[in-house]
Amino acid sequence: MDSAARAQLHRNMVSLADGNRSAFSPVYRALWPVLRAFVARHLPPPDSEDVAQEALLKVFARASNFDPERDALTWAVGIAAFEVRTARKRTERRREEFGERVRQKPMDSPEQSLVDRDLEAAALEILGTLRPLDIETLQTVLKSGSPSVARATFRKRVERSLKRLKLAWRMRHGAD
Amino acid sequence: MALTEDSLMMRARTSYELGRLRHTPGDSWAVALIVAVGALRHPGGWLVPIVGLALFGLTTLMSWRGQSWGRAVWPGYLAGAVPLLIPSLAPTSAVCWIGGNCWSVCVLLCPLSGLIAGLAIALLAMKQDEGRVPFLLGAALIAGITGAFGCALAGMLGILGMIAGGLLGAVPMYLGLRLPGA
Repeated sequence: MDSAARAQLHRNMVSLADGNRSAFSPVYRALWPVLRAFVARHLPPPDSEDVAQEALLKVFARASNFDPERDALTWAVGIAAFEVRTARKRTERRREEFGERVRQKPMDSPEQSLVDRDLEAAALEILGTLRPLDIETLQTVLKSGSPSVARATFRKRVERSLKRLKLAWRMRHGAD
Repeated sequence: MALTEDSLMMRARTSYELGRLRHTPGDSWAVALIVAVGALRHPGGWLVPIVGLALFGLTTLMSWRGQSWGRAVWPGYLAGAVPLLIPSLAPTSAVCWIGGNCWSVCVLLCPLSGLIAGLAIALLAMKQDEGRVPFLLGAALIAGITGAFGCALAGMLGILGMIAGGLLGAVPMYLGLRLPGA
């Protein structure tokens, strides 16, 4: 989404939060493809459509509480990121129920878990604001997968993606 | 879930409307305070809960509708607080003579407080960029009902005086500007 479309979405979301029903359709048309693509990047196809729809419904359910000081797209993607996390947890729980092997994580203190959870949600939110190429690059690094481009090009891409991620984080949270 | 495009849009619209409805208590909770003041003034009266219920319904509807109607809720309460509180400040036995008639100060304070409320609402309505008429109507309705709890102390005459004072304050000032943003 380019900056003009993003600004337009923000204006429409502010208007919708105020109760202007005529802003509903433009917000719907602008958000649905973005949320659908975002969720599809993080979840496999059978689940992604359901989760994207749930995220969209939550965005509209909370539209009246939207704070005009926040960026509409980041806010909506943040809700979608939370839905992705919930869906992953649900899947994990289902796997445990069926007795599948689940990687055991070391037990953290409740405070540490809370901090980790918040950090994870914040990171997902920031990740959603990056360009698709950056997200793909960072995902390849995290999964330790093999890059589809030459190593030197990939190294450069990783460097740039991390730089943008840091910048987005700093702009959002004011710290590294 | 996997809804079709049409049903997803319909569900999203329903979610939005329900979300707006869940948002309304943030505006309508003040009715409880107004009803409490009314109940203290007129203990045992059946009119207080009925009018309070009507005020609650009105504020919920306006807050849910949003835009100018929603923005009018709190100015309505604040303007209505003037006739709600001022008449009760007068000593019960205080009277004054106007045109050879003896008037209770409490009765006289109702048109005066209505006038202040009307002026305040007109001033706030003029500051709205758009939807001034809904704002004026909404705020006047809420202020009228809120103020009626206070002016009912002076009986029907007090309520009518408050309405007359409110109209005297709001209408000419508002019409004088020819409703440019209505």
